Amino acid sequence: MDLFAGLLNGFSVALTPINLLFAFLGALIGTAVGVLPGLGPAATIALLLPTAYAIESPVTAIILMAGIFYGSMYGGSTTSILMNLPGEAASVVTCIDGYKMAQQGRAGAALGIAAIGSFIAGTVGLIGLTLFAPPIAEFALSFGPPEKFSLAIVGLLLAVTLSGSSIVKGLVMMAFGLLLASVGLDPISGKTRFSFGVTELQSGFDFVTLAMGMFGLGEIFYGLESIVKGQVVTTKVGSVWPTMKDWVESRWAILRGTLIGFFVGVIPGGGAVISSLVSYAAEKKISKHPEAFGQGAIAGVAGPESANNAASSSSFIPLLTLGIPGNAAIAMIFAALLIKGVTPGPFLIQERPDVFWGVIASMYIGNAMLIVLNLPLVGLWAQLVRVPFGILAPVIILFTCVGSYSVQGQVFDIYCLVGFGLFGYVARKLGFEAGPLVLAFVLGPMVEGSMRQSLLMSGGSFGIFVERPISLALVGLFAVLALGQLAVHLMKKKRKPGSP
Amino acid sequence: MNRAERIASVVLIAFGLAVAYYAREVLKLGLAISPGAGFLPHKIGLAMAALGAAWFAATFFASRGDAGEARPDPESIARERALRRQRILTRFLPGILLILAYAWIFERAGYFVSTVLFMIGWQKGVEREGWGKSVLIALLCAGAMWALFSFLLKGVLPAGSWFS
Repeated sequence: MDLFAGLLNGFSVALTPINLLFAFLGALIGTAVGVLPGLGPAATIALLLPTAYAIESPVTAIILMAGIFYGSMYGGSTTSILMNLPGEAASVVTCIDGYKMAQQGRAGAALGIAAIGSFIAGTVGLIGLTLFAPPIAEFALSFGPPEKFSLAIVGLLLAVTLSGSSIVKGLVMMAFGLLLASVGLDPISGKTRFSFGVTELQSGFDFVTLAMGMFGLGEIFYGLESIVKGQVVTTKVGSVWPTMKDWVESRWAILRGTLIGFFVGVIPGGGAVISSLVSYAAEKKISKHPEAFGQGAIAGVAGPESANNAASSSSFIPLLTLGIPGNAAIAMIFAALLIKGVTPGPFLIQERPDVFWGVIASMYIGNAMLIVLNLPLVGLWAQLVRVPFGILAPVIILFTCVGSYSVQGQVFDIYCLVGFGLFGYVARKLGFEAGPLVLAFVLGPMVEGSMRQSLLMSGGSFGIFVERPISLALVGLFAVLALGQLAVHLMKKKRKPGSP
Repeated sequence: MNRAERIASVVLIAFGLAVAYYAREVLKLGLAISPGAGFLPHKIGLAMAALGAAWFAATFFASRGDAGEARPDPESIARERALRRQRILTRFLPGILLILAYAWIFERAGYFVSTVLFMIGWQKGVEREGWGKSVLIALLCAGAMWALFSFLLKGVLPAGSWFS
């Protein structure tokens, strides 16, 4: 199927009334999630995973989840600008200049340029996804078990090294994820692992329970101990349409942010957070007036907001073409696909073109919906922050408990949920991120299965992972990126003592 | 935090070694050509122990590096600690106990009764709200959640063994 025929087919799927409704719902929920501090896209998709069982069509379910993901990138800027409170991690950097602009009475311009930049970047990112995904999927068809193993491990290691502040802590969470994935029946020997006589554990941990516990409940437990309060800007929001001067100052920032976001988003672990940080740093470096950054520079809002939206589009490339989720939110979408009996990866485009193209087409539509939802309704979204934690917390707890129970109809899952919630809470207190654990849990069966198949192929030699060219190239790519990161780290350390 | 991290790193080393031992002795490693059920868990256990050791070393050197740095006011640290302890005792622990109690009565008392009781318990015990508001929030939330899971998502929620 050629590119345009595929995309047309996708639009015929995405434009059905039910899929349009779910794209709208996804965009709406995503914006709300982005606005509400503390509840990120990964947590919300985790909370909504039980609904994937009830939604009949896999395309519809994924359209909803994808809508939440990219919708949250739009919504995140609202509270960053108006309250100096990032709704989700990718909008942290928007606070710096966005809130300053709001204090100077230019909240409307900041919100407007964030939404318009997001729309442009999201759409350009989608064009890139449309163009690059099919050839990558075709190339990935040649992957055997050793390549799959190398890809999964390299993807996981990249996610660990790029996403968190401590590599050791990221690796610990990755190890926990792989260990939790191994609980239950071993598919080859038929032995049960780590079940210790508990019947419910023989089928392993349920991903929905793990994700809802780590992200949903863990977040609430953390919130019970610390209450964050933001200061709403009381000045008038004003016109959300940027002036000609604003356009001139931000057009190149939008373009650069789009490109940075697109390429960073493709890398596992890169994602929206890193792309927004890289974009902000790049804008400050390139600017003729770097001193204006931090004082309300519009480029400091336009660049990062464009970058995080472009990254959210491009992060679908490794998922849809290689079957590798690059971040926690995409891992939830990966799980939703598996729940619906669809295996993401190179065969997806051939076996389920309706899912592949339908989801991509729905993202074009959802992106257009988001600009309508965000620009005129910005005041309404800002009011959402007033929902008290005292009501939000027990509702989320109820949602996770009932959702977890509804998957298999057993109370044991609620106890597991509480256990994962406590684990997530302790991990967060100690500075661990849940993302690598969830990614490793999702990829665990693939890692173990492909490793065993590879060893069988090679007669027990681990050399197979570096003897085959694609596998060797993947390992080499990781080595280059890891060495690059190490060099940056060492340079920073060297510069630190003398720096002002 | 350093002390907590050091304790956690030692726990991680012990946990990793226990996993590796269990994988080797109980699950069995198998042969390189045909790895057994314990092969990957064994490697994960060893990796965990090694990472725990690296973490311990990192916290140890970090604490030595911090020795010369200015320390925050001990009074403000004590105040912060007391506030956190109070939050844990008045919000965190009652919250966890309520969720565990909710799980325990969920199938026994059925979805509706257990959910209403949980919500009232939360509003009274954790949020310190009045009776009227607590009951209203509890009924609204239980009803909305039932509509979502039972009516819209066609899930089966327990009716309660105590009442059958």
